[in-house]
Amino acid sequence: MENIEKKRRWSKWLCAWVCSIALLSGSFCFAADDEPTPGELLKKSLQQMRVKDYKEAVITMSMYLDMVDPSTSQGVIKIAQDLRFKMITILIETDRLDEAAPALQDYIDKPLGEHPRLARTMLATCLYSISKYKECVVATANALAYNEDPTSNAGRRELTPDEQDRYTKYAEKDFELEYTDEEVTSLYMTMAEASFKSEQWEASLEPYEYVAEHTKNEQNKGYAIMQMINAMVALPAFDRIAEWIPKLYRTPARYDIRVNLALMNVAAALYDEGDFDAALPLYRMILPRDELLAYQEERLREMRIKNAMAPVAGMEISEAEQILFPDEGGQKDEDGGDEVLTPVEVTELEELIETVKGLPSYEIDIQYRMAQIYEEVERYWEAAKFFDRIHQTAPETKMGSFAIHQLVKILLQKLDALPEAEEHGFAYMEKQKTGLEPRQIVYLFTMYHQKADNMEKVKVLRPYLDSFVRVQDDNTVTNGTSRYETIERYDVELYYMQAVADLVLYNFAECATGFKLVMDEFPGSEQEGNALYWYGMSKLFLAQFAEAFEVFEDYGKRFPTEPWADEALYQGGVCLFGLAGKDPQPDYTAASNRFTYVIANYSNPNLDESGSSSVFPEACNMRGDLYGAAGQLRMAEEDYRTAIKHAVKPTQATYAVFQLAKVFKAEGDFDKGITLVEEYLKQWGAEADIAKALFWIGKSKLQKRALMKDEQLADALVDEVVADYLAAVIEYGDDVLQDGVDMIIEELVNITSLWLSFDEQDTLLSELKSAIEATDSLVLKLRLRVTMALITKTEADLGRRLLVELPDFESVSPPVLSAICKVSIENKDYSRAEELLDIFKTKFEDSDFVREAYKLRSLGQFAAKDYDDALETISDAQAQYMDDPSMAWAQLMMAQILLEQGDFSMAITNNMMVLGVPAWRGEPVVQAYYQLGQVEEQAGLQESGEEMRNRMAFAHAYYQRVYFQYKGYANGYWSAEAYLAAARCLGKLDQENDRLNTYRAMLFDSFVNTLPQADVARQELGAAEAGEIETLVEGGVVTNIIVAVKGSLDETDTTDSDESVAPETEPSAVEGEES
Amino acid sequence: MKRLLLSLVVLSATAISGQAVQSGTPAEIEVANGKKVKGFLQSLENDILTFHPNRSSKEYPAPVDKIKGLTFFPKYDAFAVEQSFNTGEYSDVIITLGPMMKPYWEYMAISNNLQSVFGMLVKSHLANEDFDQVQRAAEVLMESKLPNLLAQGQIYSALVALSATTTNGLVTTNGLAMAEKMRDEVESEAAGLYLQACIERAKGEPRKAIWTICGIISDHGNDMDWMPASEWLAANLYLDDGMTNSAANCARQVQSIYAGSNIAIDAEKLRKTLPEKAAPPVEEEPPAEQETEEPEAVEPEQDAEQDMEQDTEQDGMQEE
Repeated sequence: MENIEKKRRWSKWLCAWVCSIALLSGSFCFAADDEPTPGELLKKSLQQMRVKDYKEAVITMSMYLDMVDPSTSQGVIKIAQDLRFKMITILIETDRLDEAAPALQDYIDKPLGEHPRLARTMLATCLYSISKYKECVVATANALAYNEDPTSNAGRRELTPDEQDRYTKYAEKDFELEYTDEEVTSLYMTMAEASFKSEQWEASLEPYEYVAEHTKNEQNKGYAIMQMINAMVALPAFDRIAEWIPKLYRTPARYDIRVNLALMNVAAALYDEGDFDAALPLYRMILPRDELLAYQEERLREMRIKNAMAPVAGMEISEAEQILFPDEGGQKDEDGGDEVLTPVEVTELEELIETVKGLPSYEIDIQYRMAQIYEEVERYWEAAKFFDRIHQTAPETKMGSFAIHQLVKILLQKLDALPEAEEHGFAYMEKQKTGLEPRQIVYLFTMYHQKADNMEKVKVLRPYLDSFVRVQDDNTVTNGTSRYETIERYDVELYYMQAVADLVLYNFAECATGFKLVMDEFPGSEQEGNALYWYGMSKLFLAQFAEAFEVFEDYGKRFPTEPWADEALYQGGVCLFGLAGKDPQPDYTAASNRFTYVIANYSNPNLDESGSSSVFPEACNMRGDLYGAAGQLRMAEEDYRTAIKHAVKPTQATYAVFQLAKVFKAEGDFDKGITLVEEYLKQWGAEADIAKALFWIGKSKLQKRALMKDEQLADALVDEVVADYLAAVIEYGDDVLQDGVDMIIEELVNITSLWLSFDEQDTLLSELKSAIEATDSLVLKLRLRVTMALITKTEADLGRRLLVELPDFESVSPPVLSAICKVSIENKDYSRAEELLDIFKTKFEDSDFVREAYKLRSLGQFAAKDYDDALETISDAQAQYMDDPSMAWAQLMMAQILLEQGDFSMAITNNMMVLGVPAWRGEPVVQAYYQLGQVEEQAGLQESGEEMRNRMAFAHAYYQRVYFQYKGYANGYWSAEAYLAAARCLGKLDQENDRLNTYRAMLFDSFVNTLPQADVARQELGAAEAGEIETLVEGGVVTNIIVAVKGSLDETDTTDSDESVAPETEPSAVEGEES
Repeated sequence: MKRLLLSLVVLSATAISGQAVQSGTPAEIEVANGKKVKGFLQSLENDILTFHPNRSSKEYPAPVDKIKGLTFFPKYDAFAVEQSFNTGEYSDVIITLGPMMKPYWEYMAISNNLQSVFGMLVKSHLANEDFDQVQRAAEVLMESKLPNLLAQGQIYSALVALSATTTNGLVTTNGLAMAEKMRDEVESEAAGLYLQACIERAKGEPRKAIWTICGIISDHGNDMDWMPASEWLAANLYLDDGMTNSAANCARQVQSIYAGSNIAIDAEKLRKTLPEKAAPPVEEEPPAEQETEEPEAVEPEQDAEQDMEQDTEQDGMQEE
């Protein structure tokens, strides 16, 4: 109905219009001949329009409009408005938008226009197209306002009084339909875009939001949201962005090229702002360039086909295809000329595609950004995945190389994922042998392993490092350093770290080579001074004191102001100390002078001043030791006290305190010792070696016990110490490196056997058992078990069980290791001897339990006839423990090795040395006598005549002493062996009767006659005589058979040795031997 | 097809006379060519949908591969249900949708307008660990000819299988085998990876599982079917691995990126259970024994590390 009504009105107006033309034509016909009338102009313009002479038509129309402008006739005004609208249409179609805009404004300003809404929309579009954005915003607002309420006349300029007179009499009627929803949304989009283009960010938000909420086109929705985010970034209003990101994420806007381009910018801005949560989804939405281009090219293809164009621009078109794509190349212009009119949407898309094609590849950058975001927000696995992907995609690029570095770094430093890091990093280093990046990877691994104190793993990297090549191919300079120089710096550092790893692993020879390599290969490097110092230290650890001293002196000269200058000076003193110790007549004056020099030059150890040096207390300790060794105890005490007072590290104080405690113990001043240790505990607190301190306090208390007269008080003191010790073991025993705990265990076992009753022992054992059950610590469990075993003397059983139970010795403390060594010795199993001794050397250097490990190792080497190494091991053991009661085996074995090596003289000397040490009285002496017999016997076998007889006589005498004087040792073992050896010697001396008498005596000897060795005697004597002797023995008969040999010890008492240490008395018959 | 169309035309022409109340589930059936017919669904067996046309008691069979979709006409407050679901009120969803969906449940293997509602119901059962209901749904979906519905069914079924644990909390061998079988059958790569991650998690391998999930995040970052669930799983996996900060950050991002969804609410709930950002771990002091001899050797490298970090940054991303 509305249309019908409209048509009716339109017909009416058309009649009026035709009449007006006729009238106007008539009226102007009478005007001057050379000036056309309005009617003629109108007619002419319509004619021109019909023949598509738009240019002239516009001129004619303008002339007409100017001419009739003053008219107040409703019909004329109406005709003029219609013609104006036609002219506007022509102007727009011929792209004369700057002229169309004022014409549209005129149309809006004047009454009786039939297209007030359309004109307002057209005005907004025109203004936008000619980049008059601010005016465009106003025009769109007016269009929307007019649409809502036409009576507002929004967009019409204020009329002059004359115009008001002329126009207000014509009632405006609203014939035009209201905008559709799509048109309103489109106007809002124009308004938003214009606001955005004119940088009115805030103003653009509302219209964009309207579009986002009302458009049915998902692409437009995404675009509007994207633009809102852009505006918010520009404002900036980051806090408002978060709300829109998820909405944008759910649209398919990512396929829009404009959106993609905008996404990159916005995401980058958000990243820079640190708004990672907002940036991440935007980066995710950005499509890879190829995918985006493929999508848009397909869209363009469809668009072109829809517009009757060939699918691809410029493609050759056959005649037949011409029918399909008549407008290929775009629509021909009105004159049929060559000028083409391609649809705007196609042109726009083509331009956008070209823009994207012109962009450098951005996928890797986007992925890199995402990786960085994941790293920033601690989503490390995702970051690793993206870095991995970047590296896999473009391994040869700079970004790809950097990505593998970041990947390994995250895996190691953030995820502690060593296997994964090795998988990626090693694969890269296998392939990449030049440049900075592989070195950086090695560096990352090295740092990781250093931090974990896993130096074996650091050494695994060495082959990679050696395989790298330094190439002068890139001299990019960054901060004044060329890339080649940076690579060299890495190499210096990495080789230096390799040497440090060897140092920590006690591979002193290798580390010395390593530090030397750094000095030789990279002279003048930043690490040269450090390498020199540690080279000296390596030499020192290798006990190459003279060379080490030279190095330290060299360091002092070349690097007098470097950090190690004081250390080098001090270590030089240690070298002098070592050098002096090698001399049979040691003179420590030089060393002492050097320590005095160090003390004097670094004697300002005020901890708050920069002049303080950690070598000061070290030097005090060393000089204190020298004073102590020389018996100058007060001076030693003074040095130790100075060291304690100025100790920089707890270890310095610990050493001084316990050395001084030894001094007090030696002097019997236990209270002083207790006070000293208690003060130490107070001063250093948790940093102190508490277990060791408690051990000393307990030991000092026990020493005091000996002076106590009140037995009850003495027993109470023992109970107190036992309780303190047990508590200390439980408290600190879970740390395998706490050697103080091991000292306590040893002492606790001694106390138990000496002073605890059986009931008290049971109570203690019960407490130990409870403690084992209560703890989860394997280290503590093992310590407690070994304590129990030592108390119950079942150490060997425990050792056997542990050999089966323990997969490795990682959590095993020294007493446990010692038990394992003992069992191994018993089993003659030397397979793990080296490993066990190494554990002591690397982890428990100061532990006294190392003695069993030395013994096991020496026995192993001896069994393998590796005599030189065995002698070295023995020498190390003796250097540490000298004539400790438990060290007789070392002296005896040394003598045996010398015997095996044919050095009879030294063998005798070393066996004789056993006899001279009071602490070794007992079985070691028996064995020494036996071994002396062996030496003489072996020497005799190499002689002949009288000399042989003399040697054999000496040998016999030694053997005889063993079975006469020391029958019961080792359950008669040595005695039995001595009988047989003595008989052997008599055989050599052709004293057959004596030889058989010896066997007879052996069978009468109840200490040995049941041992396996007695079977030899039985065999030699024959079954009958042996049986007879057995009957006599059973009947209680004893023998007084004595074999005397000329030249035996009691007669001549001389040996090859200068030191004649023959038995002091005639071997007397052991009780029961004489009848 | 022709026969079906013919029957539909006949039906529309003849269905004039009124009838008494008809039994079955009322629905509109749209066939492949766009024709629609209203009727009452009777059953779905062996890929044949049987229905009574409106005002007819005659049964008509329709092969499901000829049916484009079904439209049901349940009466319920869709907005309220969606709101309950998106705010993580799963019990409310079940209370409303459980009874409502009963008549439609067996037809969910065919594309229909209640698909997303059904999805909400199953996910709510899953959230409430009502695995019997989830398995029931999975069995229906696995009958579907539509790849996306089939995949959903397979995933649900696998998740149910993985929920079966032994007394010591480990997933059963049968459960694992079943889940692995489903993983092999799933066609969607993202879905397969998701399932793989679930299996690895059930095996107590959170690190492996995160790495698998990272495959979805890096290669299917815009797959809105699997990304929300994958990122939510990632947050939980970080938690399994004891990386609380990472879990909290991941949950925060899930909450932000998928704002307005049930996963965002779940993520928010998880965040509330986590402590505030933990302090960075304190660097351990090197053992005292080393301090006396070696630490000085390490010090220069520490300086160098800083220098080199700087170099690395300069070398790598300086252009940025």
